[in-house]
Amino acid sequence: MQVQEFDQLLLEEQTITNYMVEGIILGYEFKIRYPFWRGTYLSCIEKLEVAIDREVLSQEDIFFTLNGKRFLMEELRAFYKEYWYVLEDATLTVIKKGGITKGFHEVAITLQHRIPYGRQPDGYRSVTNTITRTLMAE
Amino acid sequence: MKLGLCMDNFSDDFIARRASFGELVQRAAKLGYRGIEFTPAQMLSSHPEVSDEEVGLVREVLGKYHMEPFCWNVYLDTGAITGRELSENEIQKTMMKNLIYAKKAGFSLIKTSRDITPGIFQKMLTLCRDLDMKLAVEIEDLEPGDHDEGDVREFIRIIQGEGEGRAGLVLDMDLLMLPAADTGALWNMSFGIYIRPEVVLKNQDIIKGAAEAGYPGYLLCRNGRKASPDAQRQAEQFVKSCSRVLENNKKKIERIRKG
Repeated sequence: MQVQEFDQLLLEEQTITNYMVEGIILGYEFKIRYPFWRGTYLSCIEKLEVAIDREVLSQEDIFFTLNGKRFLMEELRAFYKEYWYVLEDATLTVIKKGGITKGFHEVAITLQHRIPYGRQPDGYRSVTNTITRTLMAE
Repeated sequence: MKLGLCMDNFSDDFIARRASFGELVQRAAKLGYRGIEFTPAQMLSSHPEVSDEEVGLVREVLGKYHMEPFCWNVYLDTGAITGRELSENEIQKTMMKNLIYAKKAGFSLIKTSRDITPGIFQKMLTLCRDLDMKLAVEIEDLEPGDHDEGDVREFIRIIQGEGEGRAGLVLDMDLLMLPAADTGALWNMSFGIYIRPEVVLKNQDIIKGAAEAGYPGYLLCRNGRKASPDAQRQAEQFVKSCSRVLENNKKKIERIRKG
């Protein structure tokens, strides 16, 4: 099921910043939000795909940070006590030596998530939100 | 009969960070509402383990604007865990925690969906009595005759039996559209009824009918979470129309209630 109503929330206007450790650039990061009228549990995220300049990134190259904790993408499904509040930003950190080049980049996000209430005979609703934005990297 | 507002009507402004919870309660008060339905899954950052600090903030804001904390709206989220449903024990403990949070926030009623079974609903009554709280189940999409079928009949049996005065229903507006013969008894076991403003504005007789039937609970404005100027205007007109109908029929309604 595609839902466009909240797509704009998923990736808001912002600047991509390089991820630095002690002056060494290990990658880059930006923020995303949960695109719905209420929050959810990380376990309800069924798929989170990121493409930069039309190249889909490997899940293994991305960290997902929320509530002060850093998760691997493959771990998300297990965290049913970790809540993504609807006003809270999550940070996606992409591991890439040297970071991202300065200038504009096309960022595309696809988020597929399970709605954990209102079970139907065929299961819970699965919703997909997608958005593509051109963001500046500095 | 009192007029209330589901706070998630203001979702558009809340999630766009255009207005805080406090500003939205203030807006509801200005519109003329007397009570609110509150959804912690939307508005509390510490959900699902709600902090005393946030509970205190909710209580403080509602007190500041003289808004009755009418209904704490619980989503059981039975599908939160990947690969399995919540167990009966997990559902009971979710209800227990929310009864405690709601009590601390000053609410006297918690409501959930039919994801709760009649059996668990019944088991929660003991704690409701201990905490002096009321418990309701929401029945949506009610059609004529539905209240005599399946789990709805079982909920009603509990409400009219062991749960009398403590347990009840929260119904959607379809109830008001049903023939009076189907609805009279349900009105009196309902703590709240959701209604869309456009329905009231098109047919003010339904408010009159509810009042004349002696409906004692809340009419809760539910406009589909929109913040458009039209939706805001409708929410405002809803209060005015309901108030006008009730005022115009005050004496007649009192006569009917006295028999």
